[in-house]
Amino acid sequence: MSYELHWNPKHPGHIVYMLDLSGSMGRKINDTRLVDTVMEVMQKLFRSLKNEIMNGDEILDLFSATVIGYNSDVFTLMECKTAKEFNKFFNDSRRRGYIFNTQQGGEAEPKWQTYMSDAFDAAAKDINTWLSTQRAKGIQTPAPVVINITDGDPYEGSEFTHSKALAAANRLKAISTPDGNVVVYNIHFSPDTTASKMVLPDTAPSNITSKFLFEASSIIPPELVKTAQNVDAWKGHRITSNSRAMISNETHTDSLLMFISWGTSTGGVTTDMVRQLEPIKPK
Amino acid sequence: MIVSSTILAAFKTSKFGSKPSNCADSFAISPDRHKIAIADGVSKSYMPKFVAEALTEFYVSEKLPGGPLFCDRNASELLSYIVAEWDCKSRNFEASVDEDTAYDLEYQRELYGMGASTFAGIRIDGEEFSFDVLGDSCIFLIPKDHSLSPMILSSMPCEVTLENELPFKCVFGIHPHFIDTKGRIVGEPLEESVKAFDCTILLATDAFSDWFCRNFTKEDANHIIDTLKEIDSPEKFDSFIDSLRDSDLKNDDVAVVLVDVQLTADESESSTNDGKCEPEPTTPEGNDIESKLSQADEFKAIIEDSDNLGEIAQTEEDVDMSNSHVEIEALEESAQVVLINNSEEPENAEFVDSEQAEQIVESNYDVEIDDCNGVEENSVDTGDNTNYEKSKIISIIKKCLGLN
Repeated sequence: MSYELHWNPKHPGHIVYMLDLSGSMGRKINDTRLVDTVMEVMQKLFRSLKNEIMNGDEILDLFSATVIGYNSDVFTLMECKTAKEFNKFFNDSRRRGYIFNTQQGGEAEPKWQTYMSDAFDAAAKDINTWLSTQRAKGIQTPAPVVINITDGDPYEGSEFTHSKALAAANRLKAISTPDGNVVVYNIHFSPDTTASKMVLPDTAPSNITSKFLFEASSIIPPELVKTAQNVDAWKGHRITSNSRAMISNETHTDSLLMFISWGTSTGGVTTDMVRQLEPIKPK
Repeated sequence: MIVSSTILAAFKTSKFGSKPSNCADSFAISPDRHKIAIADGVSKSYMPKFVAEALTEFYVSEKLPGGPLFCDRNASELLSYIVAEWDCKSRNFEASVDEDTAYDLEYQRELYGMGASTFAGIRIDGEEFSFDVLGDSCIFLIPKDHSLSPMILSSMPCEVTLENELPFKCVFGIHPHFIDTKGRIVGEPLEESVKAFDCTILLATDAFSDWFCRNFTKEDANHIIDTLKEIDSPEKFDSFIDSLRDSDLKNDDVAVVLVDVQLTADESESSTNDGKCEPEPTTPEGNDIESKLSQADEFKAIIEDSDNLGEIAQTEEDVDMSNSHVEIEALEESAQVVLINNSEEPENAEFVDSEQAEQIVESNYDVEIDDCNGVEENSVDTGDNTNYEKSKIISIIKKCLGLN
């Protein structure tokens, strides 16, 4: 069965976070730039993840992680090949006061357009590199996880590029391991939208943006369906075993953090936020 | 009877990828080997290993006055001890690490606010086993007479079935019961006592208990026990556990204690029967009585061959081991004596009709059933107050059913 190989030092997992850093991410909502809100959420997530890898005075090598930023360029913001490197990255970020520099001239300054297709391809390249490395060492590979956080649609030049981005997402989702294919999560975060939120739908929506995200997302791994059904903010939405791992028109920061935490728990490493949602699991 | 215990194996190891010093499982054994304890620190708590250590130390020490661990009187002393130990040791630990780690530990202390642990302990008091169990650390009792049902003690949902394959059915992987440094006992502790018997006792924290439940079979009951008995060093134990982790053992800290319990007759005890019958010694091994004796002629053969009848008759005996229920009781006026295993219906149990037993005894010993021979003090009261001849009937029935 798929998605049963949990992250642990015998077989660490791998996760890629894709962060939309297009120009629209620099807009202010309630006096705070959207990009800074997202970075604050990422900082909380990283804090929780760091807690999970701590065991007394040592770090458990549970996973490696990459953060890819994208606008009209695609670039690596963080590449931690081990949990120890992630731990060091976080400690350094604590000292400097931010995870990624979103100020003008910083590596995470929001600008330009949304080359989401190239970002999906970059994630695929990163994952294939990781898989090759692990296979060469004879280490089992839990299914890799990709979580894409965006405030809009893929746009290049003078047009939307949904088809191109969808093709790239499908190539990413097609990467297979014995534990299952790469799991791709997509969340469209836009606190100032008035459109209806769509949470983990099991049928393709008609709206173009939501339909694109639906088709670009994986079906939720079975173990996560029950957890998702326990999220208060998602109750009232039909979540089934055929639901796709996507949310569109999300306006609440807490729900953004929950979605990212929940998607991260694919590998069995659950932060406290997600742990509270876990149903009783008889074996 | 003298109950003696021998420690066959006592090891612990940390999860793969973790230092031994960060193992949150603990075990302790009293010098006389009559108190044994294991504990498993709850990982999502602060410095759980210090709670686990304090729990096991307290249990096997003189600090435990006696009686159930979690009764009000003992729980109060227990909590004082573990809080003091946990607080002292965790603060010493915080003072010993680098700045980044200290910052992280401070975050964790604030996040969790307490340390917590599960617990499983056994006390051999005279001729009784007394258990104190809280959480998913388990105690398994494997009778040396394999005709008898094994038992599991856990405060989590567990049961023993009579399936030849995998008799233990337990739920692991859910939030366990525990005791914490805020003074909370989460869940209902299991505190029971049973009459001691020849057996092998396994105490194990949850990862190994889970594995044991999925791999112990009645058909091959000794396999895992024999494997553990052969391990004579921590390194060999680590290798053994690593090999299981390549298969189906969860990567987690592991603590295991294996104990051999043997009952022998105390020669200084005088026989309390009429002198014709002596208490039958319980041998740790070599008891070849067949498990399934449901035929009268088989009973007859036992009676004719047996030299040691008349073990002191017992009053109605109800051995309640929580999840493994063994009863000997008289039912109805016909006084059927029924062995009930676990929660099985009587029709699935083995039974001897007392009329049959009477007929067999009469034909062989020419003794009237109601001839008490002045040993009224040893007569057995059944549910309908029928008196049975002092030792013979009950002993015969017990022997037929493989009960000693």
